Amino acid sequence: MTDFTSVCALAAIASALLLPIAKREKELASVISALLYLSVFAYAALRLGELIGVLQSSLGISEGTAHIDVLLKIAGVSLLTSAAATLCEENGQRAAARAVELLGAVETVLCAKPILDDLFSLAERTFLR
Amino acid sequence: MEHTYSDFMRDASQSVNGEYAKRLIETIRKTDGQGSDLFSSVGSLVQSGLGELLQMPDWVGSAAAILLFALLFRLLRGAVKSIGAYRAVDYFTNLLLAAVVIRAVLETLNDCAAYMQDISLFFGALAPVIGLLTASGGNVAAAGTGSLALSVFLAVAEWVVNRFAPIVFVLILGLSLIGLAAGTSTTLSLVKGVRNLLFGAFSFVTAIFFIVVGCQNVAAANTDTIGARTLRLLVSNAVPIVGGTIGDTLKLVSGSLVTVKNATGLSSVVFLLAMYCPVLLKLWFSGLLLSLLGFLSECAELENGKSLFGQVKCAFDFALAAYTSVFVMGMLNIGLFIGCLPAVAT
Repeated sequence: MTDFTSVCALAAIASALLLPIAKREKELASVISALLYLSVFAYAALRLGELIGVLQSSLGISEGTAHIDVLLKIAGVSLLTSAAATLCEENGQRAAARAVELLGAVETVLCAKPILDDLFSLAERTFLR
Repeated sequence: MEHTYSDFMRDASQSVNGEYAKRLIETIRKTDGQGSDLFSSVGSLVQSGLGELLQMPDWVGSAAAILLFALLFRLLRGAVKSIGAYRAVDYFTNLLLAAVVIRAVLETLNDCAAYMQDISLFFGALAPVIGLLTASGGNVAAAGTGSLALSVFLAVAEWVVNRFAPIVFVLILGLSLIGLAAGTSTTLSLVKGVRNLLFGAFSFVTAIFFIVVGCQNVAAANTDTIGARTLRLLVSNAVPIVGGTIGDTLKLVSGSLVTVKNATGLSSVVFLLAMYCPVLLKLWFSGLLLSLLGFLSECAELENGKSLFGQVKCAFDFALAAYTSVFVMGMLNIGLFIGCLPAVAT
C-alpha cells in the first residue's frame, strides 16, 4: 500500500510539474511523460504478476489444472499489449500502436495453444469416433 | 413356476452390464421379490448409490474457477483500452469453459446411458418370462399382443438409448462448440428448437404407444376370457362326473401362477425404479448446476458462456425426456403384465 501511495503521488506530482515544462519544451515534456508512464506501467506489471500468483494460489491451481494458468497468461498479455499500445498512441505513434496490438493478438493465440489443442482433441474424440 | 422366477433373475443378472444393476438384481433375488425386506434392502442400495452420485463433480470446481477468473478480469477491463485485448480474453475463457464442461457432460450422459442400457437388457431377459407367465394363465391373445408391445418397446428403447440419444447429444454439444468457436450465441435458439421438436416427437410416440397397447390389451383380455370360459364349458360337458372339477383345479393352479407373476412384476418395478431414480436425479442435479453456472456467466458478462450452459442444459433436458419415455413405456408393459389376471381363473 505504501508503494502504491508513493507511485500515485509521484505520478500526480510529475504530471503537475510537467505542465510548465510542456509550455516551453514540448518534446522534452513528452519524453518525460513517456518515461513516467513506463515507470508506472512497470510497477503495475510487477503487481499484476503478484495478482496472478495470488489468483493461482487462491484458486488452488497447479501447473496445467484446467489450463487456468494459460488463461492468466493470456490476461497478462492482453493487459501488457493494451498498455504498450496506449503508450505508443499517446506519443502519436498510431502505426506502432496497431503493430503492438497485432503482436499482442498473435501472442495471445500462441499462449492459448494448450486450450486449442484440448478443444481439437475433444472435437476429434466427440465427432469423429 | 418358482423355477421360472429364479431362472429369470439369474438370466437378468447375467444380461446386465453395470455393477450397480448386478448388485440390485442380487438384492432382489435374495429377498425373493417379496416383503418389506425387499424395499428396505433396495432402499439402502439406492441410498448408497445416490450418495456417490450427488457429490459435486470435479468439473464444476474447474468451471467455477474459470468463471471466478472472468469475474476478476471484468474489474480490470476498465484499464484495458483495447477492445480486442479483452475480447481475446473473453473468447479464450469461453473456449476453456467449453473444453472443461463438454468433456464432463459427455461422461455424465454416458454414465446415464449405461444405466438405461441395463434397463433395456433387463427387459430383454424379462420379455420371454412375461410371455410365458401370461400364456400359462390361458391369456394366449394377451401374451401375443404383450409380446408384440414388448418387442416394439425393446426395439424403441434400444434405438433411443444406443443410437438416437448419443447422436442428439453430439449434435447439441457440437452446435454449442461451433457457436463458441464462431463467437456467437445464436446457436442457442437453434438448439432450443431442436430440443422442443424432439420433446414433441417423444410425447407423440409415447402417447401412441399408450393408446395402441391399451386398446390391444382390452381386446385381448376379452378374447381370452371368452375363450377360457368356452373351453371350461366344453370340458365340463365332455368329461362326465370329473369334468366339473377341472375348472376348479385350474382356478387353484392359477393362484400359484398369480403369486409368481406378482413377484416377477414387483421385482421388475423395483428394478426399474431403482435404476431410473439415479439417472433422473443425476440429470436434474447436473441441470441445476448448469443453470447456476449459467447465472455466474451472466454475472461475469460472458454472453457466450451463458449460451454454452443453456445449450448443454438442452442436452440434459433431451436426455431426461428420452429416458423418461423409455421408463414410462417400460412401466406400462409391467403394469399390463401384472394387471392381466389369468383367464382360467375368471
